[in-house]
Amino acid sequence: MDSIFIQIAAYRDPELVPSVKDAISQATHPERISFGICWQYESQAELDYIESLKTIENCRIKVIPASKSRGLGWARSQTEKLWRRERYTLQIDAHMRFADGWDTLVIEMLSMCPSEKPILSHYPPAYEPPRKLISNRCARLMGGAFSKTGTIVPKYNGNVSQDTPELGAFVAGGFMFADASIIRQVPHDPQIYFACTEVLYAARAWTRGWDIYYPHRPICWHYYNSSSSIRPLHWRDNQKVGELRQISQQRFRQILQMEPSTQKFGSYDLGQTRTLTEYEGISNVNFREWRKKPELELLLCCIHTQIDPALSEQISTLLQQQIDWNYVHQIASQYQVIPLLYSTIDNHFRADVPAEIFSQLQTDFYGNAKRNMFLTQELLILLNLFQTHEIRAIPVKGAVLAALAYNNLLLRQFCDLDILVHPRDLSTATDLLIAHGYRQSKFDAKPKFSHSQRQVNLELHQTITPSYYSLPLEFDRLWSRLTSVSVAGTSLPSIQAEDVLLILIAQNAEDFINKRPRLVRLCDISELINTHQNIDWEYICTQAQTQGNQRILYFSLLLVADLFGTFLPPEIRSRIEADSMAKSLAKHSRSLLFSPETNVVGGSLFYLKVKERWQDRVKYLMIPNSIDRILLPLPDFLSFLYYLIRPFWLVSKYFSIRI
Amino acid sequence: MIPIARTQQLLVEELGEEVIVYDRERDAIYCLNSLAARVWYCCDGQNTVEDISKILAEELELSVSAQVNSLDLVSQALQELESFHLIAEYISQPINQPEISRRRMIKKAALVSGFAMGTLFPTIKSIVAPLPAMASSPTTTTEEP
Repeated sequence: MDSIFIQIAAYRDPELVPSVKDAISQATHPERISFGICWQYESQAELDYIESLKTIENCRIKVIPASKSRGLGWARSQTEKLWRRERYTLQIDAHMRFADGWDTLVIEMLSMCPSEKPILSHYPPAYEPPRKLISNRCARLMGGAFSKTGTIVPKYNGNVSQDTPELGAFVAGGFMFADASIIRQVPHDPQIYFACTEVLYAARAWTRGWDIYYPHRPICWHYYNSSSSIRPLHWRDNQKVGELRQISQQRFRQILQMEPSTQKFGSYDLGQTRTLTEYEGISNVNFREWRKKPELELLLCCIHTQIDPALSEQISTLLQQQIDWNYVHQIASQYQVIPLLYSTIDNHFRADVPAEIFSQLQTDFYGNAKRNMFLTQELLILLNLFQTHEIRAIPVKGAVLAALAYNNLLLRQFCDLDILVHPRDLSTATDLLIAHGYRQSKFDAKPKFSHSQRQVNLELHQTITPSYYSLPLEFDRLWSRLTSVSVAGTSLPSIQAEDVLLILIAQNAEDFINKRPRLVRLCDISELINTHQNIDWEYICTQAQTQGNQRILYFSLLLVADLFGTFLPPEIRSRIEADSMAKSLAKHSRSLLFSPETNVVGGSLFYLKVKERWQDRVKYLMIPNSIDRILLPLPDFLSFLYYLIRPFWLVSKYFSIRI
Repeated sequence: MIPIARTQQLLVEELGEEVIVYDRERDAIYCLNSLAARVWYCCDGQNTVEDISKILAEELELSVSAQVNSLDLVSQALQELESFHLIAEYISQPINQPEISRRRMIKKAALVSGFAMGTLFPTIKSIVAPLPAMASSPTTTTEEP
């Protein structure tokens, strides 16, 4: 017989009795309906309130003083104990109204679901007492945003528009209908408090092979006014709510593998029929990366020059979540990617961004555009000046990189000028700059200049990778391979894209060694690869291998492929796959890249791991650098002492970090 | 009358439907909407004002009876371009070499979509953006011991 067991966890709710009576009066077969109610009361009046229910046949009630109640999960676990092998179970809240003939309708609807173990669930449409049905909408659900403690609740995601129940991933505790075997297969965890119940239950049920469907017709209505003046609330009454929440949140995180497990969960754990990864796929919620806020994911999706349909859809999905736009602006500014973010929003998602945020981004973008163009103009003047005086100079980074990687001067932030000059021309170039109003910094070992009137900072480079990289991109070789690039309608000399990539991956490694990974650098690498689809990978790999920078190359490529979905040719992919250390370093670095804690990625040990040749590691350990010289200034004639001190300095630093 | 766009001492970059122009002489930056940019790109020393008007009417699919008169649009755009010093001169005979590379012609699609989005008239904004604090430096990349 198609009997239905209705489970109701009722906390001092004055709508309980009308809800039960409505369920009976609207049913086609009221004789097939039974109830399991956990009534949590405070006063004698509240105890007396349920007297009328005791006369109803098959209405089983567990009566508990409110002070002994441990919340929703616990109360639902109590109602489960009142099940007497009815065929179906309907879990509802204590404030509901029902459709005419709801009992046959819901069974019929369940049979329409193409699954062996279907669950019908959704947020029912609203009513107001005594029986005013507000709407007939049939909601579908999606995952909301993670709270600070990692919990997540389902969120309304539009209405079901088809003629059959719609497959979904989330259940709503206020309406859940299934074969009653679910009571044994997926029992309610009594230690799960209110906000944690629904998503956790959905994941547990789904991984045990239950499929979730959203009804296409209303079966019942819910009273959404949860003001404490309407009905008392457990979390307002109970003194131990903090403790109950804490336990519940920890179980939620551990069962969903959001943090390492410290206990066994038995029948309250996830099922074995399907994996959590599969559930993450269908629910579009990445539990194990819950700390990764949607804002960060949104930013990563937006900082591309080309937004393909898949990426566009991904951004649209993210935009359905609650986005903290001030935070998006803040991190875009922090990671120096505002131009890309602005460009994507302006071209594709302008209507989705609050006007004041768009205006801020626009102001920042134009400010950067003006600065970039001004610096490019200054660069043109200086290159012209150097050319007149036969100084061999190559512009690097800044405008040239923007044009090479992004095909657009305006899409990258830069704030100063960098020019590579032939070592033999350095002195002449310095004199020339000084003659044109530039002042050389006295506080920097590198030839850095500034023009106070024009507010331009400039660095003359003889090489643009650290000496310990053994990346001999000597000036002569770069000069011999010189090409040109169009920057804002003007042609500028440039290093070949392949050499630029080699430099970028070395600089990226340097960022990690200095524990200052830069998202914009990774973005540069990704965009350079995207823009130069015919880039000579053989040249790049050969150069990297010859110089002992193969792992540095693989590490950077893995990171950009993971962060931005950058396309890498299959032969490069297979080479990377063979380097387990590069994969391990990239995986570790990726997981900590956006950690709020600083100094957790990279460092000297990173260098020792990312370099594949012993001689490079030894060289790094032995050769003093500028920090050594700053920390311990020695006169020139004693500079040989740096070589003796450096190993001790590194060892002591390593142990101080360990301690 | 054949308008010739100024090309000297300018840096020009396109972004979406807009064109950003930096005037090196005046240290000023302008943002041209798609219509203004299209007219500006047409000022290559080959097209008369009427020619540009025809090009625009064709690209915007304006009918003869349309309320928006393409000649008016071009005149308005030219006035704006002049006021921002983006027109070098007017000549009576076409020059041999186009002044602006055809490569940099803004796409028709961008023009039409800009038009559809309500950018009915050519506009040029002078950008008075503050220099971005956000650009203030990834300063030193000191090496770690």
